[in-house]
Amino acid sequence: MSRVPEIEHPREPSYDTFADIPDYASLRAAVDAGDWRGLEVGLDSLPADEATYAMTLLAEVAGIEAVLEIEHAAHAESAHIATLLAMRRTVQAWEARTRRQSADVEPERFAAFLSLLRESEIMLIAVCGAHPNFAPAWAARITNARGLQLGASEMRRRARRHADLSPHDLTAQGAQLQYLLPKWFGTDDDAAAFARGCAAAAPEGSTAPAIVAVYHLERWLETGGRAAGTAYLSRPEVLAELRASAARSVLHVAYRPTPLGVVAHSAFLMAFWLAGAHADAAVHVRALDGRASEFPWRYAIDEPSELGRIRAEILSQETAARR
Amino acid sequence: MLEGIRDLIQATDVDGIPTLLAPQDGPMTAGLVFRVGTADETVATGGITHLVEHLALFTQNLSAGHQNGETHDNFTHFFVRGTESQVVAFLDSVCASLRDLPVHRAAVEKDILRTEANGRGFGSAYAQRIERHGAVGPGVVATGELGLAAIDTEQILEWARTYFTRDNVVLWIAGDRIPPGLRLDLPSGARHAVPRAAAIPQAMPAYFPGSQGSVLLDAIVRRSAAAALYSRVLAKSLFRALRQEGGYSYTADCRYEPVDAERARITVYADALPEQQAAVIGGLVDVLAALEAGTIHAEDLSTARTASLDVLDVPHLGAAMLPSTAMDLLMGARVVHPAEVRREYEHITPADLAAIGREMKADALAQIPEGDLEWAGFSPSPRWSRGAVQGARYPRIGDPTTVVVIGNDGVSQTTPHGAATVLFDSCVGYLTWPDGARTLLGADGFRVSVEPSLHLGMTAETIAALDAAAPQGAVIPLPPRAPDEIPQPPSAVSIPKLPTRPLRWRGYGAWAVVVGVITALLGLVFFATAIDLTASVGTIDEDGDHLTASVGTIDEDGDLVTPGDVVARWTIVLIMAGATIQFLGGAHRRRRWKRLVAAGWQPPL
Repeated sequence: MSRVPEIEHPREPSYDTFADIPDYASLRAAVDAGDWRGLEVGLDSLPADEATYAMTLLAEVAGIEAVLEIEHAAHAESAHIATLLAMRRTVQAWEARTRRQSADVEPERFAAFLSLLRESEIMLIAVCGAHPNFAPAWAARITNARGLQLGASEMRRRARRHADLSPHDLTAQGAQLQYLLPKWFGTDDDAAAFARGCAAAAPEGSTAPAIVAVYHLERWLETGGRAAGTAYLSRPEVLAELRASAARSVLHVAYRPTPLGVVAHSAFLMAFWLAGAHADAAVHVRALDGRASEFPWRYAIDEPSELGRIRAEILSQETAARR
Repeated sequence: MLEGIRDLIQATDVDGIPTLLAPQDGPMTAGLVFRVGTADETVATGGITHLVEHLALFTQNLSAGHQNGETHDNFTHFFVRGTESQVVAFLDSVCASLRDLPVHRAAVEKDILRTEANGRGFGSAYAQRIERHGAVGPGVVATGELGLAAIDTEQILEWARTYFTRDNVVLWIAGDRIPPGLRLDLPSGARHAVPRAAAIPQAMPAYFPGSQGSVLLDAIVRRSAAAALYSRVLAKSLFRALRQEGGYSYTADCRYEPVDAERARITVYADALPEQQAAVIGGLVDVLAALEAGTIHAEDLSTARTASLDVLDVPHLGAAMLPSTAMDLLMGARVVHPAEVRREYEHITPADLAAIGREMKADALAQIPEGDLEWAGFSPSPRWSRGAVQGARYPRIGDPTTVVVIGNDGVSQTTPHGAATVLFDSCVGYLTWPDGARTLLGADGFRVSVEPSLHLGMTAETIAALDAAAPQGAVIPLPPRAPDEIPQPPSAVSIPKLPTRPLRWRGYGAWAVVVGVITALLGLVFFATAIDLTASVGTIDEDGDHLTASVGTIDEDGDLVTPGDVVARWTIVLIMAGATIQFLGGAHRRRRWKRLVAAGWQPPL
């Protein structure tokens, strides 16, 4: 009997951030140099969905608001800067609110949440007014619609304006899915129909079908996780849907790896892992080669350091199953 | 003033009344425009202009000509279409009526107007007027001609004498000539400038909740060709975004109307198809933001511009301009030649429209069917007055958290959420009903209703004192209400009888019941022994001993029972009885006190 082969992972398990994604090297250089026009050119050279994703990651950099405020004051006409600052305000809003249930959030935190979201929204309204075809602003407004508790028809209106500019966008569709979940303002039927519709409409090799994995993970979360969650995810029809979506998406021959693809792979990986489908999970482990995105992993684990153990477990289980 | 347009409109006069003449094909049309309207009224005189208009038309010989009258915010219009002699007859008749109003007809016309007003209902446009202007000026029309109930003959005649005069009118005629024999015999008076429409001061842009199914937004901006063109562009953009592309609305439109010489009101309206209200609100916000940024579809701008220019391209432009020129003349507005207007329209750029958009946003008041508009930078328009008066308090029966307060300065209705207050100084309408109910309307649009049947402690004296304090000029006596229209307190609540004399002592608590029962029991025991004792005084015992009652008797134990003992025993019984009454009575008093306080009665200090 031979040993379980050791898989070498060159990097410590961590989540993708703006600071370390290899593809963003030139974007990082521009930000570090204060070359905002260079940043804009760099973002515009990306596909629309990747640009929006890069901006959302940049908006998560702690303290980034300081330089953005200065740049926005100097260049109010820049859609990219205004949108980045607005996205940052939204991040700050959710930090103030925390991710607890509404009933558990103190009134002062809620007031701060709304105040920051309103700042964000007012900037985005102006961006969309002056640059109606700037997709990242519309994507950010889908998320804001949820926090501001705007009606479903308004959320859909924003999502539609965005989809006209950038269809099959995993970030924007993910924001829309959140609104449609029972834990927010929708129903399970709404959420399921939406996710399946996105996946069916997406071209082959697109990251968009991963929305189906996100949907099933949200249902797993709703069951409370653990045994009930595993029972749900390991249902034959759920596994079949996950496999079909992955096959059309990041496992398809037409797929080209991108930062957004890490999110897609992570969603499939996590779903298969929680379902106990180690063979399926292993495919995504190898494809990811150590990369991971915070969402949706934060639903299941507290620290990215746990990913090393999880990967090892998946690969060893896969090897064991093969014997 | 009219020199510049004399190629289109001839300025002349008839009997000294400024007259505008322009040629037109077909039957002659003419209009008599007076510079008076609903915005000149107060709540207490609301409807008086409309009434005068009706009375002026009453004595019409209804010949085959087409004629009518209309009352607007700033103008009252009498117009006619027909042969020259029909036009002359109509105008002559109107002037004759105005000189000598058929006031005997006033009661009937008031009824007709009241019926018309009831049919109109209170729509979102009225709510918008009240919210922006209060119950004065342009807001008066929204109070529904309440003044009709108060207006008397003298007031009607005074109104006609003041406003329907030769100095406050312009005549326009679309035809070849001044019809022969035309006379305009009107009394002298003065020109009355348009009252400047003031808005209630508050942070703008603002929003307030309105009825379901539609969104309304208005703003008052400087009059200009750019503002008029902006309205058309906004209408087209809104229609495109909300109806054609979005499918959220069926109707989406925008209107531009002058309010005085320098300013115009732009009103935006969009309805919402079912389940689409939020999208209509958001869509409107984004259309306004686009125009504000100068993001204008070239197609929207060109079709709007073409539509504006087409208006200036009609064959008899002078005739088409007559009514608006007459109004501009009366308002003191500059009359601009269409060629100059055309040049202005042709040169308007998206940047000009963006400037109007910013001006509009800064003065915008939005009425939305759900949610809030703070996320779009709008402030909430106050739903409550800033404070409440101090004075006598009358809680509502069954709901002591709602209180009507009548003070020296005015009246408030306070609730846990806020107070509505009308001060006597700014009370523009004091509605009275024979059953004692009163409603006060404030100049700022707030109103307080005083319904004696609903409030503890409100008597006829209370209402009489209120009547004495209210401004007499604002009184509007309304007809009796049907019994089922008079609100009653909820039947589940029993109304405790109020004490007629001051109830100062609040009685004893539950402990008094315990003590009272104890004293009662003791009293019964002593009562029994006292009876026994009394019975044994002055009897003959079995041994035949007979003792006089004055000394005492020997009881079965051999003790001497003196009259003193008997008296003492009875005294104890009386003391116990008294104590029982005191303690149980005190406990009952506490119960009554609590019931009164729960119903809202205020204990004397």
